[in-house]
Amino acid sequence: MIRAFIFKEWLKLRWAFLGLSLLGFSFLLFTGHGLYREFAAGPAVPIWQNLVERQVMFFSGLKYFGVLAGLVTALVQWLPDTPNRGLRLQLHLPFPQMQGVGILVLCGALTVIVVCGLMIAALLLITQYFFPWPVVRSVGLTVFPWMLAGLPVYAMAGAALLDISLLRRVIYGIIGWQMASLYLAGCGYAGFEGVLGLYGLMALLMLFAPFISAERFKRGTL
Amino acid sequence: MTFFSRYAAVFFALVVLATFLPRFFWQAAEGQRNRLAIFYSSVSEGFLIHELDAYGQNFYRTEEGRELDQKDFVSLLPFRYARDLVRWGEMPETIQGVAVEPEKLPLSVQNVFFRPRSLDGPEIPLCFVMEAASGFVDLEMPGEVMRISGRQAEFIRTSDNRVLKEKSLLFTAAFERAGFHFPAQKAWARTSTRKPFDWGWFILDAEGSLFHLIQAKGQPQVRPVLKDFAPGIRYVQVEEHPGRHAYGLLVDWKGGVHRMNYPDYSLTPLPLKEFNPSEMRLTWRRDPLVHHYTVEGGDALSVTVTDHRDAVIREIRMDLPPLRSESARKAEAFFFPFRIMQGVPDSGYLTLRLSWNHDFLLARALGILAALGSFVLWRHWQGRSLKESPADWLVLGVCGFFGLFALLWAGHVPGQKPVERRAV
Repeated sequence: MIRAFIFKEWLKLRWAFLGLSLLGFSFLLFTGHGLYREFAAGPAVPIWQNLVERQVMFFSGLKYFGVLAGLVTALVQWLPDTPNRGLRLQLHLPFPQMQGVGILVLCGALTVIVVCGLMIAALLLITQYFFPWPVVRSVGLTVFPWMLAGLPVYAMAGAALLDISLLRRVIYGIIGWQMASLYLAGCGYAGFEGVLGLYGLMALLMLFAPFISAERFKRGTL
Repeated sequence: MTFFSRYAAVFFALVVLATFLPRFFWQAAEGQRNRLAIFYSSVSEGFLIHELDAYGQNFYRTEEGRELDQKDFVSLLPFRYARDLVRWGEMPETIQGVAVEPEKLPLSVQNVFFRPRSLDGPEIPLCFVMEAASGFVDLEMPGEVMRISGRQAEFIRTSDNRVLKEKSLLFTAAFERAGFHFPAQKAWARTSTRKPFDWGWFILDAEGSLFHLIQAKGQPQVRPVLKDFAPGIRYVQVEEHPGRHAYGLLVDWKGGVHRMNYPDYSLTPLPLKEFNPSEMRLTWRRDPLVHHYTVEGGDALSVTVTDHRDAVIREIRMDLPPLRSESARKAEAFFFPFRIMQGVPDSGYLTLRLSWNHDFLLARALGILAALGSFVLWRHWQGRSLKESPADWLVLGVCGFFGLFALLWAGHVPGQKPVERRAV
């Protein structure tokens, strides 16, 4: 049964996974090529000075990638099952209901984590080609919370789609948006150094949010 | 699981409410006040006040309250407005017996600004070590950066990201000769080519000693500056000024601010009372006769004036009208028993710090009681038992209205039945 659940989610999520990966890699290819052209076109000092002194981020376009990944994953995963209440069928299967929802949430969260993890790894690979370890480390610490923002957005968008009360849906949306803004705050490099563990834990805790909405969805009452 | 899910939702609602509601509240409720600046006039030997209101109107007056027009105000501050006075032909030849040479004023007038946010913040630990004695007038950014890692100083060429071994060995040996303990904790400099000369880097080693690094004709000059400095060094603000009066300011971990004098690196504690570098702003103005130290923060503005031997001449303190009225602070205590802050004034790092409201105990207690009362009414209206989800009462007791809003939004755990009401 578990494998069947995972396969069903994979069928829904594979195109989102592929699309997000292609989008991210295209952006990184564009960024890497831009850096290469800058290094080839003139002296490297201004590029380094912009990076180290002025904290200009050559990868700033990735800032909202985590949010996009979370939102797209939630929409692709939950939207096909909610308008005609198709998910209720799954929630009434002879299988522990919360375990079933847990598998769904885990599949969605893993999609976000893997896509964002791939983006971080590829960005660090590009960075280490042009810059030394202190820059690679700072870039990693900067981009990690941006990608973590994908989890609260995924969890809250999922909860909002599953919930049956319009007001509660709107507030789930506001909370997801404001939580994401906490992860996207700051304008310099590595601002979250030292508190990444706390923010990571919060992002993981947020994955519990869709369970109560799923219960309300199943019962069809507030 | 629905129980955990409900409290996870409540927790995140609380985080969002406690982070953003107090912020929005103060955006709406915080008042405005005119911008004030206080200057010491060596001509009148008194303080002058410049006030700018919200409509951009300027007001000038003496400390006794006598109104001045702009020209009188400028005439009383010849070092600050030297170019205007020279243009009008009204620059005094002497002030307090000291000859004034307008063309030399840029060497003796210096303004240094210190902000709490400078103390700490994320940065990439790579140092652009400029050539300080190139022989050319203009400074140039070097083609390599230095990093001080575990056991050595390494130079990395920017064009191809490769380590320059010879230069790295040369600088590492210079550090070791000076008694530097690797790795570096912090390094401070003003990396800009828009300065008259380069004073290189002040570097704090692993044991808390301060060293000064300058590169002259490709050779490192590393000098030990401070060893066994008991309060510990928190921050160095390097100031390359053509007058070369001081290397800059040094802030210690006990809140003391020192001027680091040129050329012997001696420290002169600044005569600042009740100065907290983590929260207050400091402006140091030097002119040919006096030093002014202006401290701004905590609803007060104070200025201390000393002569060049650091003897205090005059002091003034002005209490500014508070930006936050008492009624607004009471309302804050009633509605928000705590707040969550993502930033702190003395650091560029982000955090998630819970800060309890310690003002107005009665207002806070009333706020929590009002939240509890509202929740009881809501439960009654919904036909729900007061014994349902007992942890809700703890959330309300600790979080007040934040808890109330979060619980109202989260609703009850699905599946719990309402209390049966008796027929009337």
